[in-house]
Amino acid sequence: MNNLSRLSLDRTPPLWVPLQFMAVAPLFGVLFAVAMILLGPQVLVSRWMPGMIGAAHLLVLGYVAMVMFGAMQQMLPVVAGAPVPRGLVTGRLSFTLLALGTPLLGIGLILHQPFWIAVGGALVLGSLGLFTLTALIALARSQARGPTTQAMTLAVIALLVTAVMGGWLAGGHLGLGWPLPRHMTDLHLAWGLLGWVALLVAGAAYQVVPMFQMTPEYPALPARLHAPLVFAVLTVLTLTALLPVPAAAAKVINMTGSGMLAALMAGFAGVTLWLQSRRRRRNADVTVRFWRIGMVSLLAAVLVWTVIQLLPGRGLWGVWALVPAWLFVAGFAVSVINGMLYKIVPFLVWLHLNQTRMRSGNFEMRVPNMHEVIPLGLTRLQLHLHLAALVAGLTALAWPVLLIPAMLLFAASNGLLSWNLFTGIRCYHRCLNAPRPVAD
Amino acid sequence: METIQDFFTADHRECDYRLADLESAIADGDWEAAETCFREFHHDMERHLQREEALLFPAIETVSGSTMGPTEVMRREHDQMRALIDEIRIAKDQRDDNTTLGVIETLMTMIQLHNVKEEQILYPMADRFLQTQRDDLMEQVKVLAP
Repeated sequence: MNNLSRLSLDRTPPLWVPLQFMAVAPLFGVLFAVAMILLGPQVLVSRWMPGMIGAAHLLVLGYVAMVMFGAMQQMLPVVAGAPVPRGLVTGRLSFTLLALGTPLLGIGLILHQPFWIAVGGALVLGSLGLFTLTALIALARSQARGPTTQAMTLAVIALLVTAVMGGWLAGGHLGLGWPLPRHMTDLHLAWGLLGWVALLVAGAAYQVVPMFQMTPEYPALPARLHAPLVFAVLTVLTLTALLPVPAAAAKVINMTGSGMLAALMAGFAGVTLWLQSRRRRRNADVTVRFWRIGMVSLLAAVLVWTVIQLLPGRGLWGVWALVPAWLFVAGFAVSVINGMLYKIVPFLVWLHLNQTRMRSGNFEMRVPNMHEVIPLGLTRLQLHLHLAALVAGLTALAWPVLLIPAMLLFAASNGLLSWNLFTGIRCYHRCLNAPRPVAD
Repeated sequence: METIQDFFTADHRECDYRLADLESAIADGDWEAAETCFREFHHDMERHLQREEALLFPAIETVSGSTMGPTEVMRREHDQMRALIDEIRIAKDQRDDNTTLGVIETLMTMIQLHNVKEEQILYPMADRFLQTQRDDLMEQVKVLAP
């Protein structure tokens, strides 16, 4: 019986733990846009351009990984009942390593500076290693055993695989003497985007979409099977590339595997859109709209990728490879994360202020509701900027001269997002320090 | 016989839907419908909270031998919800749609995170630990009226 009375459902970490990650992440979106502007339209020639590789790392590490770390620091203790071991120290440490390492690695890659690639890469690997290890410990201890926990666990392992491959690739570029097969880059990309990012979003979706939008639940069996299937296919593709598989067999395996991954991604997006169309909450707030943009982008990314595969002389080459990449990262991952931030941050501000009021017994203290933490008008404006940046980014892939306006829009959108999140933090401090209730 | 998990989870969804309907009525500016929606939501919500506080939690506390464990945290969160429901009532009576919608959003989020803890952790444990007395307990739960 003891584990029942010892079970803690009340371990919210201090506000700064998740917020340090979340408020800083959009600034990396700005940094990405600035880097792209400085690189100029010629960077759009192919995905193998060093500038493109460096800028992409600014976005996926600085934005996507950064928010994920913060969100899981918050979610694991609260939702899974399993706090991250030594949460305060690991939180501060993984944040500092990632915030320092990402720009160094990104700039090192852009400028082809082995020294900075090594330093930045080591810091990033340290952060990812620390985060994945502690998150896996917490997930293993968790009492919750749903599709969310399962998908999150596989996402964290996929991130680890991505990081190891990234380290291998960086080592090769630094001339450490080991081979650098081109398919290693494809595998690094596949584990990062389809394993880590997509499974992370799916795991969050199983919980968050029915919960906040009041849709029916995800169908049980597909939700159970989706993440393990994606993970298994990625594993088979990796083994096929690394082991001496006959070329003909490898071709069949790769085509079947890629087709399955495309179907799994499209299936997830399709089911999510279908569930959202049946939601009980009729109000489409910004979070719902960001999710919808994300799912439509994911479908579009799969569609474009499939068309490219079927074209003669197929292969992800040239500017065409960048279309699904932009749709996936900026359209799918960034949109969903952006939408979630507008739920998480106002709620956490409310939660911590409310707890302070309860604990201090100062019932005169005014606690703003979630809509008062960040002004709704500014969140809607940011949604429109994001959508405009997304479309402009696609247009720029067809007409590279439009790269600069597109990136200015992306920078403006992320700058405003960061401003909005800091507005929430300012609101928290203002309420905390107000000696008397503020008259309306 | 129905499990604790199934019954209380379904009860959560009922309350969620009532709150969503209240939100829609206010977003539409239909204050008369909002009155009815609020009454229905408040009734169902209070009944759910009392089902837990008066019956389920004491049963859990008896087998675990402690009133300071997870049920204590759940009770505290219930009180926070009741405070928010009061805020909704006041804002609604003043026909202040911005505040009402903002507080509903806050309550909705708080309820959802509270529900996750109960549905994923507390109810499955309660089903395991209260197996022998579950049928009697569920009889009482179903007839409770606020």
